[in-house]
Amino acid sequence: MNWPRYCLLLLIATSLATLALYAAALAVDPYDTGRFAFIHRHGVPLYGQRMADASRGRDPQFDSAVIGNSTIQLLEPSRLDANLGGSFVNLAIPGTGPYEQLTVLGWFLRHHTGNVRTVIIGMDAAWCDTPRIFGPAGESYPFPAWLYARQPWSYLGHMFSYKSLEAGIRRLNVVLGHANAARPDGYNDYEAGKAYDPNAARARMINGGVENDQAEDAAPASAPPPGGDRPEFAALAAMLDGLPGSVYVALVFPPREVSSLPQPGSQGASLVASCKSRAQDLAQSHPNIRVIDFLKDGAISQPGNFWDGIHYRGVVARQIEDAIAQAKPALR
Amino acid sequence: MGLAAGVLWRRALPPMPTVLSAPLTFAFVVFAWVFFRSADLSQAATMFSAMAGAGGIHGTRHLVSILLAALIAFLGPTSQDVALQRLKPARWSAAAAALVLCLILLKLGDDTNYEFVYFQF
Repeated sequence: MNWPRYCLLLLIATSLATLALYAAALAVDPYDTGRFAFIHRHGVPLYGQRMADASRGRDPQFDSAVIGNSTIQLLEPSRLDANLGGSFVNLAIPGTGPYEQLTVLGWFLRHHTGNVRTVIIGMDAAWCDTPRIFGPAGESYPFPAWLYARQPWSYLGHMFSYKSLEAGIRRLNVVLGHANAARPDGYNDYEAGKAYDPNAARARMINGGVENDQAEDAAPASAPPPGGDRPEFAALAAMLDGLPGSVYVALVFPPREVSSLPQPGSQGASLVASCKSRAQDLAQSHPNIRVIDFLKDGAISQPGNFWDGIHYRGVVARQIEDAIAQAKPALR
Repeated sequence: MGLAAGVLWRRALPPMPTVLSAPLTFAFVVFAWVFFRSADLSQAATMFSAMAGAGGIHGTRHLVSILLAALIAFLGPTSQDVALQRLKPARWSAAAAALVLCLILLKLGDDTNYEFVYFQF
């Protein structure tokens, strides 16, 4: 063999090996998005919510979803099933705002056309405080919008990576029964395995209210001027317009610990008020939308109910679940 | 300065065995590079002390790769020798190189890490 032939062989072998691995990764469908897949079993390995929710969001066993971030993730699907009927999946993803959440909602709705019963949306600070850019530039943490995209092109681009190969091997292990799968219903109990310490919780509240989340909620990286348009509400309205009248939509304002509530008369208070009125407008224009408002001073906002300024304890989550069920309209 | 020391040594003293002379020359060159990299002498001094281990050694992974690379560099043939004399075009080496290239290509495609630890209650 001479060098020119060697180079040709190298080129051909590299191209073939790369194509083969890429095709294998696509066929294994590491994130269970259903695109180009040869494996038709549902479920993914123990990924975080960002990577796992593409699989959960298209799982046909569910007809109802919880959308939001960590401030709504404590709602327990099995309790919601019992209280409201239907089959719930919790698609809350920590550290996300309206853009990411509506991307996930869109994915869920597209994969459940004609089979949606209830949608619960947590409208926390990400919706109500200082507006953030409604789009990828407004993300506080990187979000894989390509997993949830309508067109497969960005997915195809991102799948060309070593990480997707590794993820593919992990998924194969799950499919073959060698590794545990992530919970299909997405329930992620942040209290699990932790002992509640009121002093530690209070210290977190005093230090600005929120543990890792605070920078995100207090100061978005690049924000348009406050009080302007909230395109996320228009986008949400457009999505809800497309839903049949039989779907119950609950817009939930999760509670905050009392010291994390905006001061009366402050700019924060007026932002929250305008946010609530936008949600009410939505509810007025759709017969089956209800606003469930826990974002106010009261028994529920007492420090003993919270891990930090915005993450409440299980007992509060149970109250929210009950309130959502009580507000449910009589549906056709 | 290094060349002068070498010349003087050869004139006055018996030849040094390679086991000693090669690492000494290597260390001399590496330490001499520091002056080109430093803005001033105090920065050079900081780097010297770090190179001597004053900053501690973090993790064994880097240590192992450095030792492995050093072994290859000191005991193996020179790269010029490999490239021009020893390397012959062969199917197996093309296949091995193709596999490595393919993994590098895929590695280049890696993007952000989307997983992050969130709650630290």
